Amino acid sequence: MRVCSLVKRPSEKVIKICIDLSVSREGRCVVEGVQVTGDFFAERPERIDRFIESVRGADAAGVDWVRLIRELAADSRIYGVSDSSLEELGASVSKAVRKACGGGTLA
Amino acid sequence: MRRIRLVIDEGPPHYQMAVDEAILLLRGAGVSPDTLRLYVFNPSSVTIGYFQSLRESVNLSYVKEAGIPVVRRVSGGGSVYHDSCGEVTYAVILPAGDLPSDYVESFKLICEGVVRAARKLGCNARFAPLNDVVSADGRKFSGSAQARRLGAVLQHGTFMYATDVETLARCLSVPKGKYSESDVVNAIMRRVTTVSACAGRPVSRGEAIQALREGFAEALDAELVEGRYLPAELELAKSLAWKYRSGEWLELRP
Repeated sequence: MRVCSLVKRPSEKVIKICIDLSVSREGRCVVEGVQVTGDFFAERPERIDRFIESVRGADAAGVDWVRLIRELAADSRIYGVSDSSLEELGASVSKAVRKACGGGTLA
Repeated sequence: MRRIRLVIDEGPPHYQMAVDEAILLLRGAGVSPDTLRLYVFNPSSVTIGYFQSLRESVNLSYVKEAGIPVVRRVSGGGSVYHDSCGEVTYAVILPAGDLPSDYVESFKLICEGVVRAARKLGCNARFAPLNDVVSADGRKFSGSAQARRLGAVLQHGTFMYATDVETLARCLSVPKGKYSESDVVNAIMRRVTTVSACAGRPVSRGEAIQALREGFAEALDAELVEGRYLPAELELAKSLAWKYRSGEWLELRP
């Protein structure tokens, strides 16, 4: 299944994160893929693609999405989206993943 | 006063995007000079931002039917319709150190060239953060995008002097469900204008290019020296053009 979160504030750019989740043989909620889209800017766009690779296969419920998105934004030097919007996006992704994964397995 | 090379050009979308990226990389490597390109997409084309989802940003069924090519840019930002008969694209390539470190200020400095060009043509324009230039009533006729590599900045953007706004609106993706396609097209047409409409008279391509030359020379406090591409730029652009033609690059974010 896919969960998506986005933020769009007036005079800011859109940033959207979609996470594809699946259940492993052990019953864990696993990140199959991540898509980061929007009309924002980044000084180091390749770091976003690297981030996508780094979380593939991770235990979705065990990932600190707020911290990860904060670090991603700093590392790739995203601009056009405020820090507070990125915090809001992290919280929204975290909530969506928790809801989808339930107690660690897909709900 | 600084000297900036000016190149005026016309060609297909994969070529235009490849030349912009080649000059950005070679300016970063210290090979290319500071550059202003003024160019026309021929044929009319759609470009989308580096991070955009193709299907969420372009009305694919419409552009396929109309034969309008779509190319993903190296820069961020949103989707753009480049009308071969009504739009001139500008590209400014400078060292990052020559621009304000604040991103809004860097967009504003370069967009000042567009603002001045529009005013010369009789359109009372202003910069609208982060990356737009709008008429006095707030309708957009220019949007810009940036990419930064190796200490150089590429800012390219539109100057819609007589764009077919209805075609522009139809090229953009229509969210399914909430609105009908005609509602979305009408909403976009209310938010977008052209320099001709803003000035209340028809503006030609020649006038638009001349106004942009003068506007950027003033805004960047530069002497524009008309020149050609370096062989190294053309060679790199040729090798980058395959990327812009490829389905893999276009579908980078499906």
